[in-house]
Amino acid sequence: MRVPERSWRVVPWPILLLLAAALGTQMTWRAHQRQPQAVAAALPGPPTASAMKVFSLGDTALASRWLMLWLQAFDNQPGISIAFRQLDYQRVIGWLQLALELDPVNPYPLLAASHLYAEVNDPPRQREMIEFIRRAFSQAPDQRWAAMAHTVFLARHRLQDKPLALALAGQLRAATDPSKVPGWARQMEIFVLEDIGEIEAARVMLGGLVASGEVTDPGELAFLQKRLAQMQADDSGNSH
Amino acid sequence: MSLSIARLVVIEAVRTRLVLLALAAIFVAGAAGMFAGAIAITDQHMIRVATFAALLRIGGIAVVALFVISSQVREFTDNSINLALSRPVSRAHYYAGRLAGVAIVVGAWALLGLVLLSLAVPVPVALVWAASLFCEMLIVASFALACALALQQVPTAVLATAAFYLLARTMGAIQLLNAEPLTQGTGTGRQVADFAVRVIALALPDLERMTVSSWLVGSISDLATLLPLLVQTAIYVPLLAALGLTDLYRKVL
Repeated sequence: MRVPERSWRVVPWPILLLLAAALGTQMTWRAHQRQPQAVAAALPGPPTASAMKVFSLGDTALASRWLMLWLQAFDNQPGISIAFRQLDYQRVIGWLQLALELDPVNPYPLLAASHLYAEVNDPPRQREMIEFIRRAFSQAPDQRWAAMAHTVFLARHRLQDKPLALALAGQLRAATDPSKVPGWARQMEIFVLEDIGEIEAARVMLGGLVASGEVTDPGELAFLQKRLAQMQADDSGNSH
Repeated sequence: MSLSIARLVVIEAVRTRLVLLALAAIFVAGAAGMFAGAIAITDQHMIRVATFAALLRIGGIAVVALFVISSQVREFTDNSINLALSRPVSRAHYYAGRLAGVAIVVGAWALLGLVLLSLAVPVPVALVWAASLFCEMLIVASFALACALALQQVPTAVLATAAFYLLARTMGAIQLLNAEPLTQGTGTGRQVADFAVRVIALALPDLERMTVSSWLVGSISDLATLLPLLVQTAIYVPLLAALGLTDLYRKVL
């Protein structure tokens, strides 16, 4: 319902003048003010899981996922980009651990750990992240085998550390239940010992993950395929 | 006549138990501050003070905005506004009286904050913080008044005021996100969004720099901090008043 209004002419001209002058002054004042500056903030340490439970009003599954979105976006703070290598990895691990504690079945923390943070070109940081995944895997092997399988790949192809890759593959085989984890993942030692190329190994792993039904989320599938394509592009760039 | 209307606003604030609400807000803020201080390992005093001050600010803004909106809507529903304007009072005088009454209520809240914070931090620091709180609350209360006059409904006016406050306090972050090179594009949609963000930022007051807890923690009490906030308030309150008055003059009462 339209409310009847009187004409603009009934508004006294000093009020319209005040409106125009105040609006003009406001715009000029704000235009001449110092613009907000982007400042890189250090990643803070994580709170305790019990504190997060209180802040999330008990909805820990949602808190775990939002926390991951926040952490993932931390390298892209408003107006500034921070390289992963500039992040304090012990703190990153603390946040990932917290997200896992809040929701142990949330796959996001281990996916981010294995495919984002462990891909940084910095061996000490990669080892820190692999160690975190290994610890998380030992708590629930049959649920977290996919991330562990990726650490074998990382150790073999990124770190070029064959003994570590074999140790991780051995742990993966020993700790998992054959009826719950696909055979190729439990036999990753073959990948290491037979010296399968990096791209081929990545392709087999992605195919295996899709076939096992471990990756069903279209977003995650697209993300993993994009990473494989990037790997192939990098490889063809290096070979030319 | 404007003074009489302002007096009525203050009387209404007292009679609608705004004082009790203020005391309850102080109690809650104090209890939350004590709790936060008690569980902190270090810097307990400042955690207590900053928590108390932040809750006093948020509580004050919420209480005063709700009071202004409900009071102004009641003016329409019980025809008090018609009664006031049937006397030899212009609409401008009526509006000025309402705004002055609101400013007195806001001033009382800021004064309360000053007295309480002076017990915990140096007086000049508390003074700058309280003056900034007065400016921030006055801008929000002026917006709430203009909204209540225009919309004449409590829920919509409250929502509009909350949206205004949130947007004004986060505009700096939105501007920075907009400037993020990773999301920069050349499409029409991107250009429209960029233009909209720039215009909205120019039209909104810079509430982000007002009543910052770090002043209390870092003992900041210089006039240079306060001066831009006073200028912003001196510009924005008349702007909102002119907007509200324009709407009031066009209303069929």
